[in-house]
Amino acid sequence: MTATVTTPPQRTPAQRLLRLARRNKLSTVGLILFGLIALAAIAAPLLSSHDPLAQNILHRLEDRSADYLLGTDVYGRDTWARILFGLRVSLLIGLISTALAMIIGSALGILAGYRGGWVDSLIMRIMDMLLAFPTLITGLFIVAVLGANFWNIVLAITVTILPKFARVARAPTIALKEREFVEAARALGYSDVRIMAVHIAPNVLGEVIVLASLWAAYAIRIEAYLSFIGLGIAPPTPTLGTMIREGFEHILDSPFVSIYPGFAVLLVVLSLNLIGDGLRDAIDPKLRD
Amino acid sequence: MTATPLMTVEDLSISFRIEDRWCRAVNGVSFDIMPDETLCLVGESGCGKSITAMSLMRLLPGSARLGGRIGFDGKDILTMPEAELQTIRGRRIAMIFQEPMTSLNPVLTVGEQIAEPLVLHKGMGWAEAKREARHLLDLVRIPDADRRLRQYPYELSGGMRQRVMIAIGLACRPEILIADEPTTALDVTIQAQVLALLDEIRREQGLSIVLITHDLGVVANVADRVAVMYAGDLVETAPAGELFDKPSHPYTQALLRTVPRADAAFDLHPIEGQVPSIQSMPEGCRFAPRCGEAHAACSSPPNLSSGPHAVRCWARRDVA
Repeated sequence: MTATVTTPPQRTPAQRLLRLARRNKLSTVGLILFGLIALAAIAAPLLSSHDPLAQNILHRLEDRSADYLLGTDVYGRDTWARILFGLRVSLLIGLISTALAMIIGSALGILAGYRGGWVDSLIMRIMDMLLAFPTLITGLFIVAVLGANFWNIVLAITVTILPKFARVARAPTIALKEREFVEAARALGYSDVRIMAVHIAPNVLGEVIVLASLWAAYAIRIEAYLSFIGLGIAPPTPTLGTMIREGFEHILDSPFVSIYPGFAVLLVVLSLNLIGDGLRDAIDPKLRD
Repeated sequence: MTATPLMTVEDLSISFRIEDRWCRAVNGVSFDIMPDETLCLVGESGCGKSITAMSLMRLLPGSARLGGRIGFDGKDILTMPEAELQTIRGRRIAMIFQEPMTSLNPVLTVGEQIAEPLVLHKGMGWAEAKREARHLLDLVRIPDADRRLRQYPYELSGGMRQRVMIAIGLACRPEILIADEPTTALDVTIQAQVLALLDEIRREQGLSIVLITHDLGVVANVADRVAVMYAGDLVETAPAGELFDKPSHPYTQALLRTVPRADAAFDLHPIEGQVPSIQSMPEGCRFAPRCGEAHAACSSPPNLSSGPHAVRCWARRDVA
């Protein structure tokens, strides 16, 4: 028998993606779902014929109809249009604050882990302090003090979830800095900043991204919480949380005014969690082939 | 011909704090690195050869206390500000490490890692640096360079990775290349290839190599000059040929008797005992407790004799 040696075929990025999708059915569902939701939010003006702010008192609390796909709220505003536009605000707040928390939190965690000593103690004790508050309380505190507007809510959510990123980035950094390639990088005359940014950060990225996809879902939920208790974006701008709260006043006679935006939150959070689970499996070496 | 040395190490001592006491790991070592030569630092594990090599670029952790002087280009490496050191590391002095499997960053491509020092130290653009990286892979005899540049370290074998490390080290055309046991982790056949490559490159590029090793076979192949270390002391230094012909220090002689040879029916003689612990160094000659020729004088520390063949032993004042 002649042994033929075949080298593994070089896959194109598209093929690799397809392979990953086949092995990770649930997260593919999540990815498609999230893609559709994001697309719907972006294309909101095209998908709805009503102005999300236009009140029509004659059609208040109406049931689903051909004209009002998901009915109307207490001011006669189209729920479908408000969900689409509300998604825009909710997704933006959730994704921006998660991205900020990921960047700042990982940078702090890498710095703490790499430097060690008092820098480590200082950064991580501050992170512990932030973690000691129940997550919602930190957010509440910041918004209550600074006032509720888009950027303050982003700030509140960022500060709330930032410590989780710092912790997750710090642990592998401590292990990585003992590896020879970091020593080799120092021997090549690279500065500490360069070593952290170019050589350690990409090694930590996998774990941080998984965390980001899971906490993005949480960030969107915090936005909904804050809006629900009246500390969100000021009306009439629709966000999912605000809509749930406004509908809540009429929950007994017209429950769907709250339920539809609640369902939208559910879909967003579910899709992000599915993506996160899939990513976690993908970077877990024990599950790799 | 008397060339001026590239680097002069004078009375280098390195101490670490262990349980509230400063312990000397390297004890007043002096040697020169001449242009265009291969200097081998030889010794058992724990004799201080690796930390001596690290200190040539001041790469030791901040907890180490360094004494003496390392002269390079009219300046002292040991007192230089960190920012200035970063312009020397990788650009004028480069280092390759023992473990090729872990010395490359797993998430960056080979091409990126070879190009990075060029971009940083030589101010090249990435495109130009990548072209130069291709030449460097040719230089270290890696075939199919274009494909290799795009690969990640895990896709390369150990020997291949060590060649990549050498390419990174050579990228900025350093004057000195420090190689800390570069072949220890490799198969014997690959070892020979890597050593031959280093030797060839040294001839082509005219750089000096400081090779740290415990393998006397390696020394015999490539060294121009040899410095033997024992327990933090430099015990003997000589041109390579002379060291193998006329080893003088009892430790060097004993070390040579531990190497199997093909040209003689030869019994191997292990050196009795162990290297003394850094926390309880003997007074006087540090090799005395294991030395067959120790006598009364050995209870005080001997000095290194002068000359090209220098020995640190009371019984060998006459050589050189």
